[in-house]
Amino acid sequence: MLTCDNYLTAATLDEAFDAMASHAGRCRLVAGATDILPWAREGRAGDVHIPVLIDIASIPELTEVRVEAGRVHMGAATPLQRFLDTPALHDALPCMAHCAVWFADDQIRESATLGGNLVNASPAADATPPMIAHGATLELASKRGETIARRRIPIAQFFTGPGKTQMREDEILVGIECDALPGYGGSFQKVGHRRSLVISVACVAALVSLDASKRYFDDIRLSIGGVGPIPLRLADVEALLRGAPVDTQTIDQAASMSMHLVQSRTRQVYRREVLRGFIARALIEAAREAGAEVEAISEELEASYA
Amino acid sequence: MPELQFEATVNGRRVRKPASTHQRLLDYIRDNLNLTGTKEGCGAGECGTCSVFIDGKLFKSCLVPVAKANGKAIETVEGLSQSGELSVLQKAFHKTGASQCGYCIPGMVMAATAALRSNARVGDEEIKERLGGNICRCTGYQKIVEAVSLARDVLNGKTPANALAEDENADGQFIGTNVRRIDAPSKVSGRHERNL
Repeated sequence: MLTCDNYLTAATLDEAFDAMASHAGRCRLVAGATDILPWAREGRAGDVHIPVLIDIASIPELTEVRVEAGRVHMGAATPLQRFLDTPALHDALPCMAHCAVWFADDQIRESATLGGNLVNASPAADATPPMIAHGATLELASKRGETIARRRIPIAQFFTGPGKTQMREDEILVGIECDALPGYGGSFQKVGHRRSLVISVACVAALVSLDASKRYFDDIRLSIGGVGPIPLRLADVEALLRGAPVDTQTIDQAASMSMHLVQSRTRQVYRREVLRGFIARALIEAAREAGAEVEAISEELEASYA
Repeated sequence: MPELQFEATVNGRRVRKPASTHQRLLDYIRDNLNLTGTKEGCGAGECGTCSVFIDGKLFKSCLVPVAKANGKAIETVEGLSQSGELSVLQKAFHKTGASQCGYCIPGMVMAATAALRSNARVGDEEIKERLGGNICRCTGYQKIVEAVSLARDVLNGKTPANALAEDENADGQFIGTNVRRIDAPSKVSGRHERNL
């Protein structure tokens, strides 16, 4: 069980930093609380006492969402369910709705936050690959004297290992900014024992735009999670696909390029096979969503990966 | 034990009662308010039987520190039949025999209520998706899904309301007839009143 002496709900960023300073070394930040509560249970961390919990989920800046001029800004405490029920986010982030349906379940998506999923830095985090594909930049804030200092870090540099990030003890992840890509096709592939409430064995996020003829790939963003210590963007596969025809041969070639990235501690052979199938299927689904003609894609290819 | 001032609207009633700082909303509802319709199953956010509405959105109350619900409007399974009459959905659970052992049912009823509130014409596949965060260890999902589609059809006027009533029992024969469970009303509502 998780116990605390004091549960502080910060109304502003200043309040949160002041609480962090006065309880340094004996406090922890809480956003959705969906990881910390199950963690502090028998079989995992057991009984945990944290003197002060600082809840940052209702700080207005952390829940704000803005879509403007090609970029989307999301407060770090944006619940995952917003990717399904906010039309502006749905349109601007073609990959996130596909990801969100695989993320835990309806109830947990109301609690769990985008920022929380990123800072926990699980190698299998669902929201990370799509955020990488969307070219996200993370905004970290800290308090220096009386002023709040902010720095921005591209998501690709943020993760340093399982559970490890570039974020310092005195910092708060306040927001995530990423590319708005309306008109792109999106796809998110994930495998686990069932649809809801599973941790990814492997996942792939894809974003695809096509040329005017809808027969050639234009822009491609592809990233993978769950198969190594940190999620990765597949720049070499993206480069191969830019300008290439949307056909079986191209997709097959693209799908086979990343097998060496599977570095999980277990089930490597299985994961390699899954990764190959997922990259192919993600490209096909995203290309279809972007308007590729169905006959451009071989039914056998899709069936073989189904 | 450190305390927290807590005030909220619970099932339409104003509640002002202190909470322990580290309580989960689930503990507060059951132990401090004695609303035991909401159950603790896994306590780790997987089974969904502790689901409650906070400001109209469905949450798993075992994953909600009580302070997060301070000042909010909370609706528990007891709140769905406050008038003393079961909701259409609860009647449908009674009719189809979906109540089973009753442990996961408060959460199933809440998740199904959320599904019908968000989409009055929710399809059968979407019902399954919406109940994906709720686990029944009796594994009787079929009757639960049947109950939700029956309730949807009755609410939309596609099926007459008498479809929720007990089947006619011709000649006092019970073998082979569908008899509703007598304990279903309390299981689907979390309430003990005789009139349910």
